[in-house]
Formats: sequence, C-alpha cells, structure tokens
Amino acid sequence: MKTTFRNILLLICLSFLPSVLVIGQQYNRIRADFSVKVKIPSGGQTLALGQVYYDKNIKQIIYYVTFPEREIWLTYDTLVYQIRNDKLVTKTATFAMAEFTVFHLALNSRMQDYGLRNTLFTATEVTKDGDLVITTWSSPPKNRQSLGNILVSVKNKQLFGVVFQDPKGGVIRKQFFEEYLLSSGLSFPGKIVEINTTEGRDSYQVTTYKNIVVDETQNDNKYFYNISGLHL
Amino acid sequence: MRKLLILSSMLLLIGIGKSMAGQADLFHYDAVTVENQMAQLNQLEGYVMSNPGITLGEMTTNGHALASLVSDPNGISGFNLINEKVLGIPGFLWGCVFGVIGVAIVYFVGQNDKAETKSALIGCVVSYLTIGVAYGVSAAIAAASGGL
Repeated sequence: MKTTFRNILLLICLSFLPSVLVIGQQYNRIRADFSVKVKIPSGGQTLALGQVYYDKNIKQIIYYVTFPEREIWLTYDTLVYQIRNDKLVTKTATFAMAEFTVFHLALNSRMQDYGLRNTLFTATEVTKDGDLVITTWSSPPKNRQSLGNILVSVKNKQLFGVVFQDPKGGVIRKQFFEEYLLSSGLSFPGKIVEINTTEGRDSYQVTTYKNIVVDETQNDNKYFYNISGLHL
Repeated sequence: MRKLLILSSMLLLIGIGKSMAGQADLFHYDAVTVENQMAQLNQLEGYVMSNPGITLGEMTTNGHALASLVSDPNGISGFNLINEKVLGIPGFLWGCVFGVIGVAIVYFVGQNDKAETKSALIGCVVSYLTIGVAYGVSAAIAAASGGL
C-alpha cells in the first residue's frame, strides 16, 4: 500500500517537472552580431553590419552599427533614434515596437505564435503537413474584408515561416526563420529571409545573427542608452 | 454502390491532400533567386568583414568599386528599414487589432497623415464594439443559464 502511494506521489511530481523546467527558463538579455541585406525591385540595395543589444526589462533595442557608418540606431517605445558621436542625428516615429521583435519573442519563448496570441487575431485552423504544423490566424470577422490571414508554420517546435495574405488570399509577405542557434538553452534564428510582394514585384531582405550571447552579466552599459539628454 | 463509395472516399482524400499541400506550398521560396539577388551584397559584406572597421565613407573616398553598390543612386537607407510597419498593417487595422496602443502608434508615426490616424481610431472603436457585443451576448447567455 505504502509503495503504491509512493509511486503515485512520484508520478505526480514527475508530471509537474516539465512545467517547472519551462517556468525556470527565464531569459532577459540577448546580444548578437547582425547583418541586414536588402534589395528592392528598383535595384536599390543596402547592407548594414554591427551588433544588437536588447534587455526585455529596459525595452531599448540598440543597434551599434559599424557599416555603412559608425552610429547607433535605437528603438524605444514608438520612436527610433539615429545617434552619431553621442549626438542625435534624427528622431522619428516607428511601428517597430520592441514587443513585436524577434528578440522580445525569443526571450519570452513566444516565437512559435509570432506574438499573435496577444492580439485580437484568433487561431481559426491548425493543419499538419509533413513536418510542418500550420496555424491560420484570422482577424475579427468584421475586419476580414480589409485584413487577410496570417499563416504561421512551426517545424520541430521552432517557428519556421510566416505568410501574410491580403483579404483575397494573395501572398503579400513571407518570412522564413532558419539556421537556429542555441545559446544558453535559448533557440534563436541565425537567418531570417523575408520576401515582400508589392504590385507583383518582390523585394528581398536577409538578416543574419551570429555570436549570440544570452543573459550576459557584463556590458550593462551596452543595454541602456540615456536618451533623456539627446536633442536635435 | 460500393464502388461509388470507394471512389467518393478517394476523391475526398485527394481533395483534402491537395488543400493541405496548397497551404504547405505557401511556405516555400526560391532560395537560388534570393541568393542571386544578394550576390553583390554578399561580396560587399565579405570585403567589410575582412577589413574590420571600414566604413562606406572611407570606401567611397578611396574610390573602391564595391562602394557604388550601396551609394546613391543605388543606395537605400538602412536606418529607414527599422522604421517599417510591423506586420505591414495599415492604420485602420492597427486600431482594430491593437486597440488604443495601435491608434497611438499610428498617431505618432503619421503626424502628417490625419486620415491614417482617423482610420486607426475607427478601427479601435470597431474592435471595442465587437468586443462589447461579444461580452453582451455572453452576459445574456450567462443570465439565461442562471435563470434556468
């Protein structure tokens, strides 16, 4: 009787173990070397290289750019700052909020749903095809005339691709998350390929991340930039 | 009759297979095309990586041929790239999907575009009305259940 009770207790403890382990995986900081290459249909192209630092508690994404010029690109709230030699060059509004970036999603282990679970989008269909699990996220019914679906695919429990559709089902944007790297237990895409389609013409963006460091205890000053003293 | 059933089942299975395959096909891109599009930039990246610390300005001053790839008129601002619309969602939908935050974003971004901000605001109201209706219906159902 005692043995049975002990076995049941052990079973209960073991069943809770995975969730305890998941809860234990809390990440706060990430830094990486990045490169961004873009080519647009007109033939215009650009290359940017440098290091990016992000602390999810501070919510400043700081790009220390080394090419094309040595400068800092910093996004915080709804603003993006261009800083050169500790002087503000430009300050403009941006849509690129920290919460919807790959850095924030990865640190919070939310890559798989692309952060859509926190929006009014709802998962309306889940299908499995080979090694892909595809979730269709739809906007509220009243808005489906103006907003298409977002399809998110997961492969081997990692975000694989995101497809944005127009209301008629046409593809307007594709993103692919590849070459995952593992750092301190955090899985992060080493390469993101993005294809945007406008009026039948494609533009391409390839972003790579290397030398990823998670939760480093040094370089505190790299994760925060005092923007209060910056003026145009 | 049996043959007809088997045939129908097969057609159904083929249909399901095709529809699923169609969705999976969306998650495909031509990697060779992307590589070809990036060929010149890869060359430039290789040069910069082998010359740490070099800037475009220095390359231009030195008359380096690769500098022309990303200089005017071919150049586009990398800085502007991080200014993109997240999810590519226009004003109305930001308001609709992200509520007040969405409106705030569109307001800040589109300071010279009142129409876009108004659009986001309408989207926000629409979304709250939708939620309001949903809550209203839920409350009515709950009340009805309680009364039974």
